[in-house]
Amino acid sequence: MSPALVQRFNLYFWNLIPVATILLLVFVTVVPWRLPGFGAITPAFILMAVFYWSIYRPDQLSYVAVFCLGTVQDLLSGMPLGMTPLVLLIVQGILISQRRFLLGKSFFVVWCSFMIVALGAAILSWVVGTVFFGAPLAPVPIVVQVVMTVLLYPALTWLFGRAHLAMLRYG
Amino acid sequence: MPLKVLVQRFAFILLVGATVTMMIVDRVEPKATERLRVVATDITAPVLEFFSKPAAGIASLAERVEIFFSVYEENEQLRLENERLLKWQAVARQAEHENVELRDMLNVVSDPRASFISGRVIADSGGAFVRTVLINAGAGDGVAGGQAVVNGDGLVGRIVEAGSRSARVLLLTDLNSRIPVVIESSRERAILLGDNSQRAHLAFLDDKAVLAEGDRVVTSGHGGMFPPGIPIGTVSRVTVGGGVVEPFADWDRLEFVSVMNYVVPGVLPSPRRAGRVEKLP
Repeated sequence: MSPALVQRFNLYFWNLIPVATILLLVFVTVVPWRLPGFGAITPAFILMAVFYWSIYRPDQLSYVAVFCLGTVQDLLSGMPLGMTPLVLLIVQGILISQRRFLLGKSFFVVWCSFMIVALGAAILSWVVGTVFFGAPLAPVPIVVQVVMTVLLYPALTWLFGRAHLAMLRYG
Repeated sequence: MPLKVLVQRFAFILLVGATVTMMIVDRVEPKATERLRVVATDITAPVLEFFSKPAAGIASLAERVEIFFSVYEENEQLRLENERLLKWQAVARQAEHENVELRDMLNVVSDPRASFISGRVIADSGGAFVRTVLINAGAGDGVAGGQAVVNGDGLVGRIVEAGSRSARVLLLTDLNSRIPVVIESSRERAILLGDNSQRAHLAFLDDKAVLAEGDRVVTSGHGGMFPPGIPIGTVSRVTVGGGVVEPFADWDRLEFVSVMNYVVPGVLPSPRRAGRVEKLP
């Protein structure tokens, strides 16, 4: 293989990082962790990933990719088919239009913005779920999920940051 | 506006439209999406199984740490429970013996025996919007839609989709779960409804029914789907016209479950029915 081709292949590989992290998190989400007191509620991991990559590398995370990954999550988790990609696409659309505001801001500001986004996504999911099932969904598990998601965001961001750094260094 | 932005906007609207269409299809024609789900879970079952093993390891480690701190109290509790259970064992032996004799005298038609297929829980829905789990046993092992799923504690839920090597279990706490039950002591019938929380609710109880906290709730067997008498939980709170049921199943520790293959005599499974089965309601 010519060096140019190797370089191109290398670039493709590293540019797959955002999609790969989300795919990995889809599996992490559906795996039964069974932590005591966890109550079988899992944080919205892929929402964190879509949030992070939409702000920092929107060029490597297309709407089509988010649609496909969200659909896979719905198929595996037994959610109403289309609910996750709908919420994720709307989050991604809003973030891409607002990313200029968030770029270069302190981590605290970004975290607070994530809290608003997570809350908005949960409310949207609640409304969509309630319309889909024709009965109001219990709000408590959803609130628990939002709190868990917001609290775990810094840890996940650290991991995304490492992956992002590797992308910039080797890509 | 540059062409690229225009294309992106168009793609966005198209994809959002696609998600809404998918949801409508899923709602109106669930059979169509079920096939897709079954294929997706069958393909990913080996991957999920691979991932679920270390997860189970972490879970059991966390459990071990928890047990370490409570070992003394638990031991004391178990000793007391053991004493109580030994007394119950004597009562049960006597009752069983008496039961056999009385059944013989009355020529009672015995309930059909259920056979079990056990599987490991390989995926969990996450719990906030739906409460289902995937197990690594499917139609190839004899699992079919509608079968009851139990574990050592009691009823867990029922099979809603069965692929060739994986199946989805709708937990009894899911919003869509409806199970005919009976209050063990008073024999009052009710329907157990899930609401996506950790508990379930009793509905359609008789107006005159008397319900008390601590009453055991078991499956009634009405409808012929579940064998009668599977323990579900205890009434933890009495409300107007119903009650809250605390299930025996521990949702944090759902690792292995058994699927009950139960066929009521006279109700043949559909492929064995004679005539134009498709035309039947």
